[in-house]
Amino acid sequence: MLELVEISKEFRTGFLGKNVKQAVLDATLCVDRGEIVGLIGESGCGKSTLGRIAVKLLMPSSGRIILDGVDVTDMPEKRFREFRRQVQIIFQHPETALDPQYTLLESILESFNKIGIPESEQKDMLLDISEEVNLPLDIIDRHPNQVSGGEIQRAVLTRVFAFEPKYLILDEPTSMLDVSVQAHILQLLKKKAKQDNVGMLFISHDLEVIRAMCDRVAVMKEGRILEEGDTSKMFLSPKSGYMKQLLVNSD
Amino acid sequence: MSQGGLLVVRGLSVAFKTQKGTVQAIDGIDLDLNENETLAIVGESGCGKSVLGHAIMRLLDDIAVVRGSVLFRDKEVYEMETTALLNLRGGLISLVPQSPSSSFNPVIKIGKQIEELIEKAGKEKGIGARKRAVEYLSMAGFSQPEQIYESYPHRLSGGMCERALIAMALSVEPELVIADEPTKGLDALSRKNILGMLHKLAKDASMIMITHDLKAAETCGRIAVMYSGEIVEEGPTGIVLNNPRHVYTKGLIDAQPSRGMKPIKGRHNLFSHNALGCRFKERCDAASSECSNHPLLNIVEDCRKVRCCHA
Repeated sequence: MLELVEISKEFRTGFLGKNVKQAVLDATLCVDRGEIVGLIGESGCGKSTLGRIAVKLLMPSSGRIILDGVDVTDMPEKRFREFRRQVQIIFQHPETALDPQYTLLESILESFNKIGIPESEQKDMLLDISEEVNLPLDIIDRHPNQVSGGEIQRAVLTRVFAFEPKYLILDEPTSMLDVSVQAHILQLLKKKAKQDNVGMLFISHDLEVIRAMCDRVAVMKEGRILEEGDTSKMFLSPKSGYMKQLLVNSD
Repeated sequence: MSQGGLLVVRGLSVAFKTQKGTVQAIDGIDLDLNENETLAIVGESGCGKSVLGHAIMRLLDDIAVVRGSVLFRDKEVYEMETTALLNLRGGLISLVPQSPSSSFNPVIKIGKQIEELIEKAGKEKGIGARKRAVEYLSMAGFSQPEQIYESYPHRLSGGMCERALIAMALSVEPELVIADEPTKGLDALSRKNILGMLHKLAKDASMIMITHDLKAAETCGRIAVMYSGEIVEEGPTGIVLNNPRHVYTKGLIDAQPSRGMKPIKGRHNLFSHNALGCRFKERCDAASSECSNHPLLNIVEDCRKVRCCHA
């Protein structure tokens, strides 16, 4: 289980860091293997910050990150590397997710090399995963600016799935994609979660997507988690006024 | 001779020559837009909807090969002299471009950029232009418009930049607004606010909204669905979305998360215009031998056109 316990994060800006912005405040959330947990809220509510903290791309100001019972919060980077493979993140903007100077294939092979997959096995692995994520092999020699957002997102998934992650943080993975491409990617992620027992934290502001994808949902406002529960209950009988307001706005 | 409508597009085609062959971005588009009418153009990425918006304003690069005619108030846009063209763009027709964050000049304050457009369009000058810029920022929902006026673009979020762009586009009181993906990547509340504000500010203008968001398209009176550079279905929005006649329109509707998230099979091919017959046939479950003939955009009922031999 990936547990985020009483996480707070503040950012200091301005002269000598006098301006304090409290991005996340006492947020507690857990994601179990095979479960998809939605995290919703307006832009700027702190949901992406919490997602980045879960993979230690940002360090929390206070609180603990516990991965399968091991507290990894203050673990040195060298030791944390083996855990980092288990928790991967996918970002919102596909066009900025890959190195623009590399072809899709070079980016994918970079991750294979990082994992230490021998060259003789790389081709078979590429064929396996590209089939799973439906990445057309005739485009992998292209650069990111020569393919569509959906195709980049599939290349990103190929890189990420190679690590065989136990948990995935999905930060608005489909908000920049067309509705039909979005449907392809979402179906793929849902299948992955259930088939390979991958726990997913699905960050989105699109309530329809959250409702279709998630088992549980947490609502965030101004850095705090206001409410959490089963998706169906949250959508049918929300307790917080804020969730009710979000539901009205999404109609 | 007058043909009626504010905008009359006939047989508009745009091709780009690439190393891998010619890409026919749009092909034989016919469109009519009347005064105070709102039209949504929907379709997948690469279907040509943004190229169509830019082609109407004659904004395409020199490498684009454009054929056909665009009449705005009975004047041919592709025969206009530079002065008339500059008067048309940012005066009579305003574009709200995609990618709000990269559409402003990053080193000039937001307000100055709006003011510059107002002055260039000859609407106001000096203090008058400044007042109008602040007024439109206020109408765009900013509670402290003076502060936004003095802000550089990087200080604004995506939603705020979009609102500022809409304020800029509408500050010259255009007759036609072309809004390219105004809700892309925005949260539900921002999307609702942006759409409400866009329709409110453009109440005296006609609007073409280019979008892949069917919920945004619902706010427009008419809808045109594009696939591979062609319009495949067109009609009143409510009727088309409630009772789609083209398999592609049905596919787009069913791909929405609220409708079961069913993906359309296959993928969009940029070169599908080279294939004979219906361009959607490779992805269509209803395809038959009849589909090897290229279908025309036929009128199937009042105000409703569909490009499918099975419709």
